[in-house]
Amino acid sequence: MKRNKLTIYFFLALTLLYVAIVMFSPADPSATAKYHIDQSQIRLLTLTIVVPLVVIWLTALYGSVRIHDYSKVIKDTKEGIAFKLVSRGLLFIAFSLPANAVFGAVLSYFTVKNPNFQSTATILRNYFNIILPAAGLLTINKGASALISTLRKIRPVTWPPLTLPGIIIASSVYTWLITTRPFSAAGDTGYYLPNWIILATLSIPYLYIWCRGILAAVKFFVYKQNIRGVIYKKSLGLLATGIATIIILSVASQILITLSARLNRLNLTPILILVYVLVALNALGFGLVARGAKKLKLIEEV
Amino acid sequence: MAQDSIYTQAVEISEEYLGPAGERFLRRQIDTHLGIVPESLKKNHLPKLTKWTELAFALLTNDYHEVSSYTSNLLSLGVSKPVSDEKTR
Repeated sequence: MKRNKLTIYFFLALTLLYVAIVMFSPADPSATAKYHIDQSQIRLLTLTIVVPLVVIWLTALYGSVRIHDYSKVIKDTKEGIAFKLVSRGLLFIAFSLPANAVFGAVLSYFTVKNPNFQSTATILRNYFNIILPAAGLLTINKGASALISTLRKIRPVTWPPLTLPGIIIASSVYTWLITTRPFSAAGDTGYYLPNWIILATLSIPYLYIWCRGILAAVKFFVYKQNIRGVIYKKSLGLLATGIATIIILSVASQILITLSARLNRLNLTPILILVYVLVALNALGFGLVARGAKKLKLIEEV
Repeated sequence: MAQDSIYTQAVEISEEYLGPAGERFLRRQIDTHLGIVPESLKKNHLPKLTKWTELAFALLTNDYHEVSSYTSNLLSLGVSKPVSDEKTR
């Protein structure tokens, strides 16, 4: 209980820290010049992004706490360890939201103060951004595998015919987009690293993590298909859909982050729309997790 | 082949609705409302058990058909199977 409360307080502290940094630090002069807006307009714009962001982070925290509560209720059952891993993985993903944002905001603050810090900040940000989502997706996948192993019989999984070519094409396009990104010339920010290092330490790890994450989502639906219980299945369906949504959005947002230099060339409106859509869908995912976990917990309590 | 005990059959029915949580659900209902060892469940306990599980089930689903089908399946364990007409003739 104590540890649970500490986790919540730490999460809230990170969230408040992020709000304080972005609202009270000076805006990037290049952004004001690029979008032809002044400091006060930048603050107002920041506020319109910060408020929904904080709401989604709190929804993520709520969803993680709910599934953690459920995993505690069933800890002595054969599904207990699987749900414990899944709840831990979701907590990593939930924490990655404010932690990556705080880290990014701190680095941006120092970059505004000292533009020479740009390359170091970019490298640090790129590597920091991968840590928590990777821990989350890999842990969820481990939990999903543990869940599958509790089944007595498993119906063979049939993959859609274009799965393998799809993965190969998507991976190739992603790697192409990363390696053809312009380096720090003409105002574009790049990775400030040679291509082979980007491939070996960012592109390949990301692709591996995303494949594991998507596999975890598939495993949840395989588990749902093979498990008995009409009422249990409905609650598990909410949880599985929520987890799949979170995984897919986590992958999508990581793709956007790694391709942010290309997105910077767009004007402000499509970027904001993209951010809002991701935020709204992420809230939906964690909301479904919370609802599913609540219903599953109720089955164990009545 | 020996017939499964009433408890085992009740677990089977519960798992049809509640999956892996079915046995835990049934054990809780028997333990809390009947105050007996779950494995010692007898036919004469079924009406009381059904009454309680119906209330618990109503908290888990809004689908009346699911509730009534579960309780009637559970109650049917207590009904002796009628001898078929052909055999009586």
